[in-house]
Amino acid sequence: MSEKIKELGQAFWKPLLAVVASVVCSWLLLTAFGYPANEAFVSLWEATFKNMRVFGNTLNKACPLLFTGIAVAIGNRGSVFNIGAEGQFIMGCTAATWVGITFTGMPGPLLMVLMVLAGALAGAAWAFIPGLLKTKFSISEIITTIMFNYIALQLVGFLVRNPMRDMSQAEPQSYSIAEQGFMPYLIAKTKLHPGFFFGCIVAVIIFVLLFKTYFGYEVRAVGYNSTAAKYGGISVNRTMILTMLISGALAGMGGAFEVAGSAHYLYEKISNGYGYTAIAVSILANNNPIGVIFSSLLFGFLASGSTAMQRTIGVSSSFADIVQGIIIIFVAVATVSRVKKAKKASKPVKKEAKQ
Amino acid sequence: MNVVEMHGIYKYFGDFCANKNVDFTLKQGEIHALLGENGAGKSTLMNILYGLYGHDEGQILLNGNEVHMDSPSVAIENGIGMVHQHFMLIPQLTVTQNIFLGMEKETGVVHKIKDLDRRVQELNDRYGFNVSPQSLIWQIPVGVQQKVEILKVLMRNAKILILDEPTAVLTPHEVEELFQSIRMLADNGYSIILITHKMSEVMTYADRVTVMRLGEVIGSVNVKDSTEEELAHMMVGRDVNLERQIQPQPTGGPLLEIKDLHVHNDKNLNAVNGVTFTVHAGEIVGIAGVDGNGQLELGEAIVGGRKIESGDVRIEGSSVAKATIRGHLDAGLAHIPDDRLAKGLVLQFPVKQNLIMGSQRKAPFAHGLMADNKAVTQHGGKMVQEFDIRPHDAEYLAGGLSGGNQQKVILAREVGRDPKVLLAIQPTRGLDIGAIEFVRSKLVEERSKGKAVLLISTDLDEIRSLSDRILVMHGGRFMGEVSADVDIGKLGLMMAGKSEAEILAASVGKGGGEK
Repeated sequence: MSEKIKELGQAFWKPLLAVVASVVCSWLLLTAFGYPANEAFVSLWEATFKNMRVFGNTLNKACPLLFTGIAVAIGNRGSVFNIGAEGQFIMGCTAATWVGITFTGMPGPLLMVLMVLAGALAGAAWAFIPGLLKTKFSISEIITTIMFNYIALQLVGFLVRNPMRDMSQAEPQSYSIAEQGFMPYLIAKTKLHPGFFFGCIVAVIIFVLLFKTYFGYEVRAVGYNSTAAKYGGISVNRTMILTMLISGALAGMGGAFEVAGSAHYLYEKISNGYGYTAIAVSILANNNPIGVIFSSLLFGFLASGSTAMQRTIGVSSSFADIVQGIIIIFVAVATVSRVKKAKKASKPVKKEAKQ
Repeated sequence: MNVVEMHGIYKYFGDFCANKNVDFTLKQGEIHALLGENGAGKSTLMNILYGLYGHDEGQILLNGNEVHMDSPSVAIENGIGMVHQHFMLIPQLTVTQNIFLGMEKETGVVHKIKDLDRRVQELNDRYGFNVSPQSLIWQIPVGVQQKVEILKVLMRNAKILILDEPTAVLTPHEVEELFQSIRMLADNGYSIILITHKMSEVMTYADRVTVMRLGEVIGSVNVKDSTEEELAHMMVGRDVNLERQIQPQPTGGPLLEIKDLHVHNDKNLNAVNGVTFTVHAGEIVGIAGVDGNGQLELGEAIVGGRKIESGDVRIEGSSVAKATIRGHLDAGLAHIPDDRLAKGLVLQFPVKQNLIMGSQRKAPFAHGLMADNKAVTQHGGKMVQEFDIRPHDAEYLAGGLSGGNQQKVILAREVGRDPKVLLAIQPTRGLDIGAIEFVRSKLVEERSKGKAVLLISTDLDEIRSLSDRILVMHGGRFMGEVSADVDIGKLGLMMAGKSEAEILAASVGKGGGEK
């Protein structure tokens, strides 16, 4: 079986198993706490698939997770562990908002493109510094990207309270972006913006980049064994920085779509922890960009459904977090068992190879 | 008298039979070599005797009584001690502390270290070990550390010693010393099992030898009734050519030139202190030396993986001292690294993708940015056949191959690049005889094709059988250049740090004294 098919196979059966197992666990949990579990799941389901309005809502919720999820996935493939998708996403939001409230005279389509570009650029810039620190001074990108998340968060807090603040609003938030920069709603009576679909295209592009180009080969070689890659003539530092830049740009782009498509202005909690959830999204998809489309949908589904569940049967929306946690545990278990199997399998393999 | 008898031992790992109906006897007071290729089942058998593995069938008798070896502690109680290939010593502690570590039951928690030192000294004196009890482990040479491991076992009252490849990291002189002590132990009634794949050691030092192949015992013979060729034949199952493998041939122009090269090690200390040499087209130059004398750093500097402090490296006349590794590859260098798992392969990649590492940007494997999977697959299929990489499946993950086949992947990749210069560092370490022969024949083939081959190896047999010229390295410098038919004693002295001039002076001095 070729690596590609194997990749795809792994991206599907593992998360599927994890999801099924976690549904069973959640059902048991709900029952144990005396909630009508069946009704809860029905409301969860209805909150997503009952009509186009709620379905659009789910896709919108999945959009930031899709972009940040791909960002984390490419990083993990190249063993630059980008925990900073959160900060890069926020910087993307900030840059896009700034463009949107500054160039108010610009025609809509141009403004949208400019916002997305600005978001990508800001995200890449925010990822560049940790990348540089890692390659030049061997400072763990795990630490620095987390630090940069806090800087980004505080920066937005400052901006929406001071220079960018819209005084007509009670809560601290920025001015709204120019109206022609609002991304169109794709279906009448829904707020579905095109972000998720652009995200799917990006996922395919990143998949091709990772698995069909020499650059992707180098990224993955560095990710698996940077020493062997180095002796194979690959510039490890350059590859890692490029991986980081792409990762940051993707997360920042996600921020731009969030502003131009959904929020239309900047506020402190615009991210809602997307960049962190993205780590789970990516792991669930075995760091496969195509797989991230599906896992981001699942997490978007949980996010929109949990609010509905709270409304209809009074289960706290935190329950969605519990379900997410359970999924991750099952995925982790599946990964471990795969490693063990591979180890067991290696002995007869050796014998076979020696004959 | 037989101190150990193993009858009909079977051991399975999954479906794989590692030991198949193995009989093994050890007589008191003998040095008994257990000879076989890697994967022949020697270590498995000894781990069974030492209680590390259980066996599936068969029985073990110690002094005629059946014993169930459930764990190493049972083995130790029964007077069996094992010295592993990788030392298990704590560098910061003294010899005595290391020896008594784990024996607190006997020594008590509170004890006088001087008493323990004295006990070590007694053992020392008895068997001529020459180890100072108060020395710190990190300060003493590897050869002495090996003896500490043996003392550790002796202190636990072992009468049967299992030594797993004890000479892997020793100089010829240290090997000689070690076996003097081992012989003295045998003369005092200890019984010694020597796991090895080195034929010369068996012939020189062992009394009896049991040869294993593919999990089975091929035979047990007295060493003096056998010959090296016979044993090699038993070990491999066919005739093996251990003789010198190269015929003289005219050499061409200089392809690799090293000038006054200075390189630091990982601790930023001088590792290579100004070496100068040239490798010409059509010759193999061997660099001999004990591990850790700067050969590895020299090799890494030549491929561009380590910073050059001063000096120059030229490939076909153009300097690559400041070039990246890619620059070296493009200049015509191929490189078989010392550690194939860490530096040579991406284990999670299939064989075919490992085969293009370094050429992934070039046609036919890439067109612009896009990789050409068809070309990669085709190339993989071809190379797997040509270099007999087993299984013959280029989609196989590199991590699933045996060591020999992994090395073939690297060899196929590097030679397949059609380089000017081939740098091979420890190219056969840890391989079985079949793979060793293959790798060596490929090096010779490259030489015949007019490539410049630089071979860095700690395996003297390898250096001597392949090299046109031998440079001996010690402490980051060359002690001199010798030809392949050099006397092994002289080579040993040079590896220990005597320059050619000093050796000459010494022999002249001795000659003068006799007059």
